[in-house]
Amino acid sequence: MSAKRGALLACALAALTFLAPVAWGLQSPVEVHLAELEGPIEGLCLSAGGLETKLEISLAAGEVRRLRVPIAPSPGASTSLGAEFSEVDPPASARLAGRAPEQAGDWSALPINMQGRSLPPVQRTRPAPGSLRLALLAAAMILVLGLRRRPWLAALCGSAFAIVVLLAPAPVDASPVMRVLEGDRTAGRWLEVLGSRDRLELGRAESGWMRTLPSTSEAYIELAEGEGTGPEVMTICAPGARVFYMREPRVQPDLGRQHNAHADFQSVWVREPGGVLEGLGPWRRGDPCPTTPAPGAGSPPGWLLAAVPQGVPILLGVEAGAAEGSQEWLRLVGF
Amino acid sequence: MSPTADAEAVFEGTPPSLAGFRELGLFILAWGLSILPILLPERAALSLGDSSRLALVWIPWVALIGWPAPAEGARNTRRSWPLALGLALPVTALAAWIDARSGLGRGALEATYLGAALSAILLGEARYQAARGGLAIYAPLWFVTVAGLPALAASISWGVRGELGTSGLAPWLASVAPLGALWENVHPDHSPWHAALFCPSTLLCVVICATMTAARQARKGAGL
Repeated sequence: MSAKRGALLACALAALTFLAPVAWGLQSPVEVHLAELEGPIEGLCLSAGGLETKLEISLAAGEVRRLRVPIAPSPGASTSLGAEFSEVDPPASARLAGRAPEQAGDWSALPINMQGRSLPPVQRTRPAPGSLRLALLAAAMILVLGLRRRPWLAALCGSAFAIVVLLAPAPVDASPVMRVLEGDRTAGRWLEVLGSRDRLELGRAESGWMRTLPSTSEAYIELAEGEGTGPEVMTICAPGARVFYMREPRVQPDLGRQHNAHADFQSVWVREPGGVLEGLGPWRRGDPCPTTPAPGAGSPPGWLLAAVPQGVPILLGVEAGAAEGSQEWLRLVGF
Repeated sequence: MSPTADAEAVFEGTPPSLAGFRELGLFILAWGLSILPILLPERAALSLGDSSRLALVWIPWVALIGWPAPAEGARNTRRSWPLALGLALPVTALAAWIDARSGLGRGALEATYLGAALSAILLGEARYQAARGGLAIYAPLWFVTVAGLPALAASISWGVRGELGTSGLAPWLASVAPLGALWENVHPDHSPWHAALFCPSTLLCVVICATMTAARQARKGAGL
């Protein structure tokens, strides 16, 4: 290749470079994916990242439409989400319903200690290459080195192997759901934090805040009505990423030193203002909180104690009766 | 066929030179270094957290592909970056697959892949043109572009720490160099994708154009 042709190649690559930021360089938006939206519906308002997207759609009874709406996420913060369906006719047939987006409120309005609490440890998916891909890699290296006298053919061969490595099948394992009830007695606020990997089924379309880790993951929301007259289902999908959803619980847990109207706890720990942490063992619903340390109670997991304020009493607990593989925790500041 | 054209056609059939073995060794070294982040045992890989394996895997390739070659004249110089690319693409594809399965968005991965591949191609081409023209200026130019700017950025960053707060100059200097930009992409949550892709590639385009112009003048002067 002559220098002139080389200069042309460089100019072409430079032009591609100038175009590239437009096509690939911008952060991916959260995409709201409404699956199987069935009428009657006369309007829809979606809220994410401080932006509201109003959809003027009119679906007759039985009419089904599939929508994908990209919405920019809030950089470095939890993205508030909400879905509200406008008046339908007849109202009774509105099976998809959500609270108004503004009810999710501003994340920064929450007590600072609640904003900064540690997220539940959802298992990361850092897949191993696997023997198939490693074998492909070794084969590619041997073949490319064998073609070193023909570098362009070697590049072509490497590209072909790269495509095969990308497309080779791999098993996908399911991730359990982690749930944490976060409370702040002083502020009187509660948050239900749900975490999972790949997808998080919320069960009801409700306003809240979402976060994905890593934050550059491509997330979308599926909002679908249930079978027949069943409840609507809102699912946050972010393939491979850890997904977290924070919302205010419909019913605030009723807990105190002398009463427990919330749930059976498999084990609880209390950290007094002095900083001493004691494992108190099981705490049954309806009973007062145990006061004496239980032998062999063990320690709570480290993530549950991270970033909690000092000098105030704290209750930590793991609920009994969680579904197979799932875990339900409670963390109350100001117990 | 002009005397300067299609050096690889002349190269075919001739015994590989010492420089050929040297660059092959360089590429095998880059391959070995690039596969390390993928083959790390689970416990060691935990320390990398959510770091982009794709960016980590590209770093040795971008660092080594433009390594200044000894001038052997137009006839004995071969364009070697396609071979390096052939070795790099399967490894980087595997890293991209791991990142995609770990939740990194497609846009971020494409930006990293395209930016790094462009940087590698441009550096490889600049190396080839400089070797053909016997350009001595390429070595310091390569050093400044690839290693010097990130090193300078790191020095400034250390120098001002605790005294002047965060200096805007250091991140900017790091982001205009391909290695600095790749290092930013290792942490996907903090990376300005557009800057990471745009600045180093533009800088490299300037470098390669300057190198090729100088190489052509050098060859004309040598009567090739």
